[in-house]
Formats: sequence, structure tokens, C-alpha cells
Amino acid sequence: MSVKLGIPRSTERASPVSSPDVLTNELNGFDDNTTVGYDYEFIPTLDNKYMCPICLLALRDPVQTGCGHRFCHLCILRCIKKKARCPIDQMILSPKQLFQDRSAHREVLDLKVRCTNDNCDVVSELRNIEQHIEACPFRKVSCKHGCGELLLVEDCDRHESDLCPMRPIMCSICQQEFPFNAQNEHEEDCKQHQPVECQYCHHQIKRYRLNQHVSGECPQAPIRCVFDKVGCHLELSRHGIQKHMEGATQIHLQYLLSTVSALQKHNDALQKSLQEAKDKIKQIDDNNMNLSPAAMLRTSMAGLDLDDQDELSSVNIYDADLTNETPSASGTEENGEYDEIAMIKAYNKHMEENEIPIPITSSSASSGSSPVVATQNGGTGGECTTSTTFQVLQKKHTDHDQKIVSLDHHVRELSAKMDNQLLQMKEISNKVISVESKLEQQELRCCNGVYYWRIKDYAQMRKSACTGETPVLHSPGFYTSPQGYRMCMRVNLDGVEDAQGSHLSLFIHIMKGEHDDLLTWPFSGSITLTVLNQRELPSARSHVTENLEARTNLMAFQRPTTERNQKGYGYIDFFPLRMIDSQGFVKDNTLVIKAQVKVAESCA
Amino acid sequence: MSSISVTRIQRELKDIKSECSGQNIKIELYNDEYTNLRGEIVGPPETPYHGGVFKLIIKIPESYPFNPPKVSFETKIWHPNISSVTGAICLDILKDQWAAALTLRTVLLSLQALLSDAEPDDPQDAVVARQFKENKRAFLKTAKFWAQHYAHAPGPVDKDCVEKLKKATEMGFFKDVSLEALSKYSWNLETAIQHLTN
Repeated sequence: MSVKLGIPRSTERASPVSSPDVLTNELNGFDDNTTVGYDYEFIPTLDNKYMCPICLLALRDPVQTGCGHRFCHLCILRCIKKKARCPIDQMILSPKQLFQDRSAHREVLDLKVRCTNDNCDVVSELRNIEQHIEACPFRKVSCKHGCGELLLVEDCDRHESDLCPMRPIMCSICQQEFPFNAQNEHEEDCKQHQPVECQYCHHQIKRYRLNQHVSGECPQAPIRCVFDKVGCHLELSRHGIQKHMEGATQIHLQYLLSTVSALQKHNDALQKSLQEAKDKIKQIDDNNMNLSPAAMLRTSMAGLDLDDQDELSSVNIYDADLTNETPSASGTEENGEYDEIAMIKAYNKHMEENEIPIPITSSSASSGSSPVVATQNGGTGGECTTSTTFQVLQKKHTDHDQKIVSLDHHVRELSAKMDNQLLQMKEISNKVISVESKLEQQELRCCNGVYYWRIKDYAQMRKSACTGETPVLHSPGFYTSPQGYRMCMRVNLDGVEDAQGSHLSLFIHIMKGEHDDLLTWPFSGSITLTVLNQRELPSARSHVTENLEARTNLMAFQRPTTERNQKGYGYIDFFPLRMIDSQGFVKDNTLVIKAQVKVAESCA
Repeated sequence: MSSISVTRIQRELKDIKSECSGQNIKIELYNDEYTNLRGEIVGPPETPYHGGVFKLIIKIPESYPFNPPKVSFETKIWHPNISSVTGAICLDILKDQWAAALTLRTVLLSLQALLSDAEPDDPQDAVVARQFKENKRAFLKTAKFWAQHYAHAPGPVDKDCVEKLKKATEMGFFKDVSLEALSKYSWNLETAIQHLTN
């Protein structure tokens, strides 16, 4: 046997020489994968010339090939469907070159074989053996009740009628059949079908229906009035409750009314608290609005508020002194209620201090009494100061108004500026992204054929490879030199074809590049693929490397006509999956694969 | 699994018991499903592998015998056509030259033949192949030491190898990794250590 080595497997497949239609047509009809040669003990031992080299059993429907080898008809058809060559001498072979070997067929059927049944010594010609086995007294049949036991024919009847644990038995209660070994289950089942007495109506009801009967049908079963929830807690039989419903409408309506009014009350209370909450929110919103623009503004506003309030409260005191003479003074104040309350409070205080109740209208009538005059004098003195303070205040107010207007302008300007800057920021970040991607492109271009591919999120990738979501990953395309070939790696993390589930599959694909017009095709050179070991200890890192030479006759190395060549070249079984997981090839959930491409000098 | 592959494996196992007692090869089931088998071949005489017992992992695809079985070395071996790391074999009959008339027995016999007759010009393990071509003495020494170390091949063990391996392990490197490095650098302790520390 010739031993030729070192041929990495391509993903290309040779197309069969013969037309595949003929084969499939022949294989249709008996599309089973099971029929093979005759599997019997031959007496004497089967001669090799009658043995099919594919199934290693005696030839069934033998055919002979053009090159003179015999096979079972089905075996050789299955074989050349896969590869159109004789499995013995590798001669090209099509179904048309197969001939029925009637002579061998006769000779095989003439061979003597032993009956397959234990204890049966019959040796018969192969052509008759099946007939014998069917009638053989030692043949075994399986029990018809499905207990799984194989029985000699003679024992079968007794087993099926008396012994089989699964023989059918008739139930004396329900007249139904059940398997012998399921007696307990059946009894339980049967019980459910026996009638029992309903405790309310004393009718006979089947057990399994009892619950349903009591909860939905029985006229005597006690149930609660449907108005239970609104206060009618009566419990009567189903029959009685109907009557109750007809007669107690008024009562029920009353119950309903009280419930409705209670609900309404509750609803009002809720509405009220909702409104309060809304007001509070509004107030908070207003505060926020005043506070929002900028820190500086905020503090100045706060200062302003404080000043105002101090002044206002002082005014209130003056006003309080003057209420009897200028009651309208309070009207000029802008801050409605709050000030009024403060005013009244101050007034009351003032009265208490003086201990003399002074009615508002009596000021002129009681001009004789001195304390009133004194008060009046005090009042006129107050009037003077009030008007001046008032003017000062008014001026301050206008000042503040102006200030607020100018600040408002300022805020507007600032926010316009900010918008502008945000826009610029956005532009800049877009630029950064495009520069980054350009840089990445540049790296791929200038890596000189050495590319490290980091597969991040390995665990997730592997999982989605296993489930078939993304069975294949492609690396970005890198150049063998700035003006060189462009290629990428392709990896099947869960393997592909035969290696599925057992090996990592790794291939190299040629891609369309910018300089393809200037390059020599097909590509020739060498490619080294490495899965890097990432153990902590450098000495413990044993990388897995395979080196392959481009074979220029393969499609994989021709100039690509699509973005990426359909055909790749590499290893279906690059490296066993169990080693990846157990031996430190994945670190931080990242697998690193390196490709190193050397372009042959003839191509460079 | 289609029953054609099952019947075929059953048949082969029966035949191998009767035919292969004298040929230093062995195949047995690893589980009951006829998909997973274990093989053993004994290193042939006049080779550095002589007397070593090499265990093989054999996986039977559903489409067997129309597709080849997957075979790899479980026992580590130093050979140009077998990966010293993964045990992967590069043998044409296990790939595109497979034919349905070949059997597990013929595969194992071919592997024995491969042990006698390496093809360094078409390697699976480039490092081993280079050593085979450039430093045959070192190759023979390494292959023999590996066979004794991993496959229990008989005969006196090379003292030089034992000593250097001991030195490397004493420096704190794993035994397997040390042996790999020493083998790679043809038992030059300094270069091997340098490689290990880098």
C-alpha cells in the first residue's frame, strides 16, 4: 500500500465522473441504508471470493466491475455515489460499468449456512435458509402484548394467555380491558367511575364528576348570594338562592347604594390628594425653572430673593402700623395672600402690644384721647418713611427686572453657544471614528502578511457556532504587503463537515484586493496558521501551528471574482476542541489565531 | 448511525480477533455504540519506536465505510508525519485516498508502515521533519526517548536525555513542556531553556 503524506484537505470536492442522476435514480426505490450482504455462519467458512469487500459479508445480488471485482449491488452503488472509483484498485467506475454476476449469485445461494436460531442444528443452502428460519421450531417470536420477551414458538401461546405481565384482563366493574400488571392503576381509575352519593342532593354521581356537580349543578349545594361583596352575606342552597335573588332586589339595591356612596367618598378624597400632589409638583417645577440656568445665576437669584423678602417683611410691619389710615396700602402690594397674612399677623401683634382695641373707622371720632393721637402721630411719621421706602423699593424692582432681562439674554446666548459646541463635538467624534477605521484599514494593509486575529467573546461565539446560528467567522481582510494579496481567515469554532463537534476548522480565503490587476495569479506561497496558547507561564505555552503550501491548481488560489473566494484552503480538523477548552488557549474569553503568509518569489 | 456501519464494524472486530493475534495490533470498542474505538499498535523493529505501545483514538463516521475513520495518536510520538502536539496524522488513506474496501486493520498496518518509513518531505510536524532531515542522530535519539517516555518502549534510557530533562524540570518547567523544548532544540539545554524562559 502506498503511503503518501502531508496533504492538507481542501474544501473542494471532486465532482463524480459519472452523471450523478443515474446513480440517484438507481438508489431511489431502495433508499435504505441497511441492506447489506448475507450475514450467516457459513459451513465451511465463507471463501473470500464470495465476500463483498465493502460490507465484508456474503455477496447479495453480486455485480462485477469492469476491473473484475465483485460487490453487493447496493454496496457498490453507495460507494461510487461518494467517489466514482473502484474501492479496490481505484479505477474510475460508473454505474454503467457494473454487470450483474448471475454465476456468482447462483454460487452464493448454493453455499451452506447454519440456522441462526439457538439450539437448531439445521444447515441448509442459503437460498432456502430464510424459509427454514421462518418455520424453524426454535425460532423466537416476540410476545404480541408488547412485554418485550422473545419466546420459542411452542411457549408462546401459554405465555400470552397465562403468564405475560401485560396480558389483557377484563374489569368486572366497568367491563373494560386492562393489562394485568396495571391492575392497581386500573382500580384507581375504575373507582373514579363508580357512583357516590352527593351529600347535599343525595343523588348518585360518578366520583370523578362529584366536584363539578357540587360546584356547578347540585340544586341543594349551599352557595353564597352574589351580592356577598356589597354586604349581603346570606348562604342558601342553589335552589334557594334563586328565590332570594328574586325577592331581595330592594335590599340589594340598598347595599349597592351604600357601597357606591362610600366609593364616591373615597374617590373624592383621592381626587383631592391627587390635586395636592399636582400642585406640589407644579411648585417644584417652578422652583426648578428659576434655579436651572447656571450656578452663578442661581446664587445671584437666591441673593435677590432674600433681599426682596427682607424688605417686604419690613414693609409689612410699616403697613401694619398704618392699616387704620391707609387700608389701601396693602392693595398696592403685589404679593397677594402671603403678604396679607403676614400683615394681619403683624397687626394683631401690634394690637396686643398696645392693649387697646382700635376699630378701623373710629380714628377721627375719638380724636380727644391721647393714646390714639400718639398712635396717629406715630402713623404720620410712618407715612413719610413708607413713601420713601416705597420709592426705593420700586426702583430696586425695576433694577431687578432689568437685571433679570439681561441675565435672560445671557442665558440665551450661552445655550446657543452650547448647542453650537455640541454640534462641533459630534462632528469631531464622527471624524475620530472615520480616522480610527482608516487606521484599522491601514494596519490590515501594512501587516505584511502577519495578522493576529482576536476572536473576542469566544464562549458566546462558540455557543452560537454549536447552535448553528453563526457557524462560520471570517477575519477582516489583510494584505500580504501594502501592494500585495488580500486574504482572510475563516474559522468554524465548532468544526465543519466531518469534524463538526470534534475539531476547530481553520481555512484561508483569498479576497478581492486593490492591486489584484498588478499581481501574479494564481497565488503561490506558504501560509502558516497558528492557534496561540495564552497560558500565564510563557514556558507552558505550546502553540498549535500548521504550515501549508499553496497549491496553484486549486480554485482557492485563483484570482477572486467575488469579494471573497468561495473556496478556501486549510484544515477541517485543525485542532481538537477539547484541547482549546482545557489547555489555556482561551484567555479573557478571547482566542487568538495568527496567520503568516509568505508570498513565493515568483509571485512577488 | 446507519446499521451498515455498525454491521461492518462488528464484522471487522470479529475478523481482527481471529487474524491479528501475531501482528502487534489491537482494536476494541470504547463505548457500546460502535462510533468510538481505541486501537493499539506496537512500534516495529529496527525503528526508534521498537516495542513501544502506541494508543490510537478511532472515531467512526456515520457514513463509514464510504468515508474514512478518523484516527489520531493518543500516545505522544516524535515523528515527521504525526503532530507532536495533537497527535494528528497525515496519511493519504485517511483522507482523499480512502477506499471502502480498506478496513481498520489495513489502516493500523499502514500506520505501522508509516512508523518504519517516514516521509519528511511531506510533513505534518515541520519541526520534527526538519530535525529528521538535518540532524538524523538527534531525531533518532528523541524519537526513541519519546517512545520510552510515553509508550513504554523497552531498552536502556539515554542518560543524557534524562539528565537534561531533570535539569529543566528542576528549574520549574512542566515536564512535557521541557521535553518538547529539548526535543525541538535537539537536546541543546541552553537554547531550550532560553526558549522556555522567553
